[in-house]
Amino acid sequence: MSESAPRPRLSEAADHALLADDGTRDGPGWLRGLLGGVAALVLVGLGWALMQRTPRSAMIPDLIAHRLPETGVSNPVTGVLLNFRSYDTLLEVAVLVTAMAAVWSLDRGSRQFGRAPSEMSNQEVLDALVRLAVPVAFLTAIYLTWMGSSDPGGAFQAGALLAGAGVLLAVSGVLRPPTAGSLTVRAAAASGVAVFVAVGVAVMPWTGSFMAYPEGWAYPLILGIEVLLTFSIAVVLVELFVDVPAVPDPDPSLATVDPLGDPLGRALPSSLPSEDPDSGQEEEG
Amino acid sequence: MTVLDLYALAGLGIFVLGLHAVVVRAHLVWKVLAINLMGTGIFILLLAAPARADEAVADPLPQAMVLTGIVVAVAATALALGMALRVTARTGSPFLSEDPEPDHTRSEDEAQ
Amino acid sequence: MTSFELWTTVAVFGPLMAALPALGGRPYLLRVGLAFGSTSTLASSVFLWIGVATQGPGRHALGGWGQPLGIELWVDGFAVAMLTVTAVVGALVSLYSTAYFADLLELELEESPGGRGARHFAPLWLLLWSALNGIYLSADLFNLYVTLEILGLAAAAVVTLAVTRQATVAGMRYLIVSLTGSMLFLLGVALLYIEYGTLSLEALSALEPTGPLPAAALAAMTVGMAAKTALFPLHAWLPPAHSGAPAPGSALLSAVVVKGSFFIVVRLWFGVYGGGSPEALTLLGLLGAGAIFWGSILALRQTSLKRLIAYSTVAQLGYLFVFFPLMITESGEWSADAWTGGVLLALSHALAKSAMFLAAGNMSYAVAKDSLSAISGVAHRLPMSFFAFGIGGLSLAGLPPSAGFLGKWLLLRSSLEGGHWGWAAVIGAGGLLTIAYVLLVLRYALDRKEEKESMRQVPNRMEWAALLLALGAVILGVRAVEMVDLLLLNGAQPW
Repeated sequence: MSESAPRPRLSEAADHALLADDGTRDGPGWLRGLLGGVAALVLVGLGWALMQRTPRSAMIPDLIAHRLPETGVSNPVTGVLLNFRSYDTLLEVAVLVTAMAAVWSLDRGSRQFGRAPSEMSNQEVLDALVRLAVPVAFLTAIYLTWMGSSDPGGAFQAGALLAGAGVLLAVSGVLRPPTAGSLTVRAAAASGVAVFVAVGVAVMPWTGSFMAYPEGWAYPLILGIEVLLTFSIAVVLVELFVDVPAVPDPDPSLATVDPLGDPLGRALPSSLPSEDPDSGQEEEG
Repeated sequence: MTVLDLYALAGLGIFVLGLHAVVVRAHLVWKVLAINLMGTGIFILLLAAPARADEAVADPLPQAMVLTGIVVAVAATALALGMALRVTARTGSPFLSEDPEPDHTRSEDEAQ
Repeated sequence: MTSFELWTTVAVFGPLMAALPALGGRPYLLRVGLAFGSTSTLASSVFLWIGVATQGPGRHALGGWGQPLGIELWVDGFAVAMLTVTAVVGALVSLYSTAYFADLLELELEESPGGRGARHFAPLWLLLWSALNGIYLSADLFNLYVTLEILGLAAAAVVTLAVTRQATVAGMRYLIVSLTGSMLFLLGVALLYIEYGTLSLEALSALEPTGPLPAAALAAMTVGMAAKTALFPLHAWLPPAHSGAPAPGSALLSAVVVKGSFFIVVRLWFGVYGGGSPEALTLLGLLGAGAIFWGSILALRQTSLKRLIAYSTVAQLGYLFVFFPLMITESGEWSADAWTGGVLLALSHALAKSAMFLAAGNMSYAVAKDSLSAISGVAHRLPMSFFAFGIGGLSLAGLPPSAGFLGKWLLLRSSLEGGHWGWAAVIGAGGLLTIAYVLLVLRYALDRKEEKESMRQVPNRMEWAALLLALGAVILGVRAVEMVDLLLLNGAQPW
């Protein structure tokens, strides 16, 4: 990491400590050698097993090619992702949302990202880059989403590109986190999954199965879902990058939490009402 | 042994390298990188090894699996790195230490 | 739209959709989310049970594409059993959590270091719940991988919700182990696809996988799942993680999260691969036996209440692998006793262990400390929680009339009928050790010598949740008929 690149609030010592590793903490040399030997043996075994595979004709590519016209798209990978195996794609977005919820849960009010524009020494370079890159990224993302039905592309690729633009905006100070508390952000992040599931459930009275698009509706539904997904995925990815805990932890109250005590860090109030054992207890059934 | 076989074996090699590293290395960021290596190895294996009915037509299913796998790996890496930052903040060191509160035996406890 | 299609959708997407408003963080949104998640899973379990009991196993071809082109959901007795018990445990733990985190949510959040974790439990748990249901219903290898990842990420975050240093490190270690395990699983998936060109569990089982590459795939997947299920010797991450989490989190982790990876191992070994070689099955059984002894002995040495319960989980999970070598009888058929015994043990452990963690949570809540010596006299102040802990322990030890007794008895019967004296001895000895550490806790709780003068009032909801779960373990033991019938739907086949 270069000195002038923006980063979460770090002291100099912590900065060096984060990535410094001379390998001395990895355990005794003989153990590492032994594990290395074991790993080599595993590799040889797996490689040999791989070479023993029975040559078989591939069944699935033929099936896909055969039924692709019914999916409403012409790119087979998009057909797999958004029609044949759309359930997996939905769950994939759920993985992103879960990671985001998990990163938010690490929140101890201690996150800070980016510095005010006036503090940055290379702000002019960043500003120029933002002006150049962000509009191009937006246009390319729209193009990728649109073309995803016939060429390589689609919601994830476009979303990742948009997220890159978003990260650039955050780094250069245009976007001022922390953003996790904002209702708009949460709604945007959740919207991808919500719409995906809603569409999947809505088609069930017609076709019976979850996410079975009715005749002729496949292409418009897929396109609509992809557009919303692109935006939602971009929001989630930017959140993952931007809302991270800071090092060192500036939350001083955590230092006094008893490691073996109440897991939620509650201190026993100094004056607890002394309990009368005969009152306030449930009658034993 | 075709070129694709070599790629597949390389993918296996990268996987095993990652598996070895995640076990051996104590630094948290290196462990996360190692997990990513394991994933990358599997992706290479998936793209190189499956049978092909027709050499010109690539099997779209492994491609879809790899795309999904990459997204999942990004999500997991994001959480792992965020947690690593949290661990560094709380313990002061980015190495995965031993359990900070080792199990006491009761005789020690009673002796106090 | 058939009943199966409707209710499998509700089972997976009910909690998932409920998680979205819960991300909002407001207390009423959290309660709405938990309530919606609980009702949708309970309802779908009931209707799927009825469906399977009347029509036999069913399927849901997602997107209208059948396997191997698309992904299918498969509902059989085993899936419904796991779904139902997870729903019951989940609903009661959700109820518990609303009270457990309540005071923190209502306080000005900035005041308490733990307060900011309180509003994140509900969305993480709901996402986790959705993933578990997805695992139980899935009939596709890659789909299992993606759902496993949701499970792993959410579960690791639940551990870190507790503010302590121990929990933070334990959560990190758990995440690393979990991700490594998932990668090993994915390797197996890739190898199987390379060999057979399909990801569908049904197609693979019809192809009867044999040969070096499928064997390597099974080995990789089993090692990965063994790490996630904390099978000895890959168990070291579990005690700090399960004891470090907040009480409702610990209950869920020990009761249902580890059962997800266990479910996958069973589906792979007995469903897809049709049972492994006797040597491999025996190896799993031996590791399970190791877990029973190692976990129980270490449990006896603990000074922290939750650590003790966590080591007990390690031991009890050992039982779940002891049933592997007992599954195939001398004549080469599936053993109905071993099958129902093994699954009943998994189900009863879920009920009993969650009850014990919740009860322990109540005791720690009252004295704001986790060590065994601190809970002196708690039995007299919190009789309901004490009773819940006791009944849970009773089930774990395998005493009648609990479901744990029934499970152990069935396993013993199958091992004696098969002439496996060794396994019978292991099961018996394990029971004795369990009684020992349960009594240890009860002794401390009953002892009035060191009793603290002031204890915090424990909300009724929390005590009732613990007690109802413990009673559930007994009810399951007494009324096991329907459950056994459900499990034997296909004639003792796990598929």
